[in-house]
Amino acid sequence: MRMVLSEGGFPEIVKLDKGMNQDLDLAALMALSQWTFEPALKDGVPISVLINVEFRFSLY
Amino acid sequence: MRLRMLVLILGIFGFAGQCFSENRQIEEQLRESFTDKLVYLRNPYVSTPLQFDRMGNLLGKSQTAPWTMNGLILVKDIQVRKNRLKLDGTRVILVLGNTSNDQLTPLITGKSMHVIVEDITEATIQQQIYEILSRIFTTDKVEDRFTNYWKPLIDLNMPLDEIKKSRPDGLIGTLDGGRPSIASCRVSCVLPNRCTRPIRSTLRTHERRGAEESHT
Repeated sequence: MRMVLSEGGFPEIVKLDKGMNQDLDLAALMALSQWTFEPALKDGVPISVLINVEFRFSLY
Repeated sequence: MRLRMLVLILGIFGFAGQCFSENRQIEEQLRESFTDKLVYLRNPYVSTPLQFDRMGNLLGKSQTAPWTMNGLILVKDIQVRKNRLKLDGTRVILVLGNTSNDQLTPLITGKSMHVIVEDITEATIQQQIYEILSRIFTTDKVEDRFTNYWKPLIDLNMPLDEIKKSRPDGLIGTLDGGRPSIASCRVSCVLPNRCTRPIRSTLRTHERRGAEESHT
């Protein structure tokens, strides 16, 4: 996934990068939508940033 | 005396019945207008339930978060009871697809959302209810709103390394209100975000069984 985080550390723009399976993509997106982050800082000021997020699924 | 009492009782029942009937009528019309439709909150509050007064002011407190992840609601039902309007729905998030044209996809999260508007008096007519709702929600076209909300300067499908090369200033686009967004590539001046709220997998056992270990 690729996403733009807001200055407050909330996911703002989410982009599916390399999807694998519709259900897994959906689960990842659901999780992602609820994440919060510490804001990124530029010169000490919170700023919106683009980051890559990788999800790993394990078989049980 | 008994006759007067009887007339009074019948009058009260008649008035109550009329109000009930009006409420039902308004309710049906609201359902017709909103059920299974996307609405979005003017202020994307995170909490649920959300309570508003008839002026559209939030009662209580709630944190706000980006509109794309918290603003949209798929309406499931609307009820008008006594002085209260209750809207039940599901949160919807907006996601860009992985195709080159970055198609915008509303995704239903299954997360319940309830909005309550207090002080809807029995005398409130349908037009007034629509006005009250328009203070809380908008029903503008999502695609149009998104186009104005996010203005990318790069192709988001590009590898991060290429983005760095093509945008030495790191600027990748602007968000609502002209807020700049940068690629988190200049580690010397940008402290990368640290996730503060990881979340457990929402997959059920049978879904896990079918999944192969991979990256998304």
